Amino acid sequence: MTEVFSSLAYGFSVALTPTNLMWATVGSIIGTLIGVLPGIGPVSGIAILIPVTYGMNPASAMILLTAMYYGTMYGGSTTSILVNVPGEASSVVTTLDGYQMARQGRAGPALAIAAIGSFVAGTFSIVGLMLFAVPIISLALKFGPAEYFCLMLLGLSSVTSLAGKSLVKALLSMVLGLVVSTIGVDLSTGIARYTFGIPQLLDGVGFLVVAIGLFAISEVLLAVEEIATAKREAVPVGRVWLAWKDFAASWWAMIRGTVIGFYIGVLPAAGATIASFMAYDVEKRLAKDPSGFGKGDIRGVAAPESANNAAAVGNMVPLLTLGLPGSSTTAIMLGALMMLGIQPGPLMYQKNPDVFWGLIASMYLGNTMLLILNLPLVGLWVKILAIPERILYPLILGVSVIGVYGVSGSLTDLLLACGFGLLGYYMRRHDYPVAPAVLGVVLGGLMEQSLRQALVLSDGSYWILVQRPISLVLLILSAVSLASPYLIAAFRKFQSEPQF
Amino acid sequence: MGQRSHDSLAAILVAAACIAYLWGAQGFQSPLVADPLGPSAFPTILGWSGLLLAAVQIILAWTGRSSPEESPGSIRGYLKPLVLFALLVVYALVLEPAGYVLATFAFVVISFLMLGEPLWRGGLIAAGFSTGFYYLFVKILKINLPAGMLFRGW
Repeated sequence: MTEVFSSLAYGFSVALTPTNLMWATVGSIIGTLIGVLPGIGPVSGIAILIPVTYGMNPASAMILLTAMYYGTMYGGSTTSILVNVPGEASSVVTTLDGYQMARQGRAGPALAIAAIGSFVAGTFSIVGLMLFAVPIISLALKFGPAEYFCLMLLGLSSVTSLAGKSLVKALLSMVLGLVVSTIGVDLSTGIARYTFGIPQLLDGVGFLVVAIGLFAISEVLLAVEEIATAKREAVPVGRVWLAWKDFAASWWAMIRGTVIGFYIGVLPAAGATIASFMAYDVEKRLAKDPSGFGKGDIRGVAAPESANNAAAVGNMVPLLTLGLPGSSTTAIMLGALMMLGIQPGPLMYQKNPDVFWGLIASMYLGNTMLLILNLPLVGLWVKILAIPERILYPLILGVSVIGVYGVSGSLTDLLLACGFGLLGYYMRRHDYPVAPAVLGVVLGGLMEQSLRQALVLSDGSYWILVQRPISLVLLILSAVSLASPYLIAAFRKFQSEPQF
Repeated sequence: MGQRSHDSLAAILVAAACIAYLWGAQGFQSPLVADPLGPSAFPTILGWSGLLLAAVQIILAWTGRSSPEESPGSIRGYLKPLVLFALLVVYALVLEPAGYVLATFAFVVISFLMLGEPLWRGGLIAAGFSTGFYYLFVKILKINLPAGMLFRGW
């Protein structure tokens, strides 16, 4: 325990340097801006800005990206409350009571409780993260290649099972990503695979090329089909303050939201969206008088806002300890870390303690920064909300081009990103989720390498994957997570049938 | 074309791509004895998984259990994204000869016109954006972007 605190102190010594403090501030502001801007989602926003971290040291880069991640969540809740438009899926629930509060002239308290709830949840969850991370890492250090292969399979299947309406389409998207990851020179034999004689493909298709194409470019192409012409009117904010009565009413909702959110965030198959829905549901059930929910009950803002922030921190547990992303955003961060030459997972904890502890310390800073910056800046965010969407789309594409070309200086990459953009547009248009494909590209190379190493150990027998207890458990969990949408549906049906 | 025929057509294309992919995997011969799987095993697994999924998708589409019917979208709906995509490709191709500032300015102004932004305001925004971002990324963040003919030595 004392070791954890001395490491955390070390982390603060990394995060509190003037440069890193500046990046945390810049990240929080840019993140909130992305969250507030109409027409660009948090994942695309972070993807096109990854090149900014190019050439930075890994600790600063991760501090910037984490602060941006936090900022997007905060910005998303601001739009939920003020214009009834959730910035992302995890703040959908916030619109229920948040927008109602704003319409009743209580936008100030709603925004304040969202910020304070996020702060409380972030702070408590980071303690949870530290307590969880160390034991998981010591377990993960015993993993061999067979366990790693099964672990990545679990990561892929959990993201796939929750993405989109059709499991078959989500799996096709995952296979597409894995197929793209096999392009280029095979690391263990030096054989060029699927390069079609194009020298630029020998290094493989870059993760950023795929991420910017499938997330950002396709998002813009889909959005210009029908551009909302109605002006988005924000509810007037008034003074952002919180009466003691409101704070006291929300305190337990925040704590419960934090606990629910953190645990759900740690689970690989679930994320901030489910966490926020569950936290809202729990508050409604526990309330003595639930009739106010949906009509502007402050607990209906406090609980989901705490839960989605706690889940965002919980999501960092599998990412930092096992190298497993549980959501699109953490998949993007994993790709960014790998571009910086850092492989998240138990070895990162040993090899790059400055990144690991610096990141954890910077989460505290990011939280504090958002609390200090955002409440006074609400007026500015409201103005940004009013920017018409059609102005943003060409500019997003202009930044995407920097994102792809600025890193590699390759026209081939740029054209590939355009191609992935068109493919992503088709996929989104026809219900194929794009996140599993991007995750497949990120994890594919490692997955193949660990499978091959595992089979070297077993002399070519696939049985090694089920003979080792941990890998067997991971395989079963993968199967369960793929079946989970069906299991949940079956359970609901069973529940709703009359009982005798 | 309804969602069902869309799904079948896509599945057939996916299956064809998987067959080509599997055929390509045949050609990778490993010189190493110590690597029992070799470079072709993982692609082979992926190729067969893709074929299997494509088959399932066709069956689901034919038995009417594919994802619910959605509005297929008119040709007009597809027009704007496709024009914007074509503009983007042209933008990419002229980026190196024209330089980031000029190419971006032209791309943003033309897309603004297509999306219905008045010329004077669009032109101002495009000029500010292209020069501002060039300055930010090249001079401050030290990321390489093509300068083009006009701004060489800038």
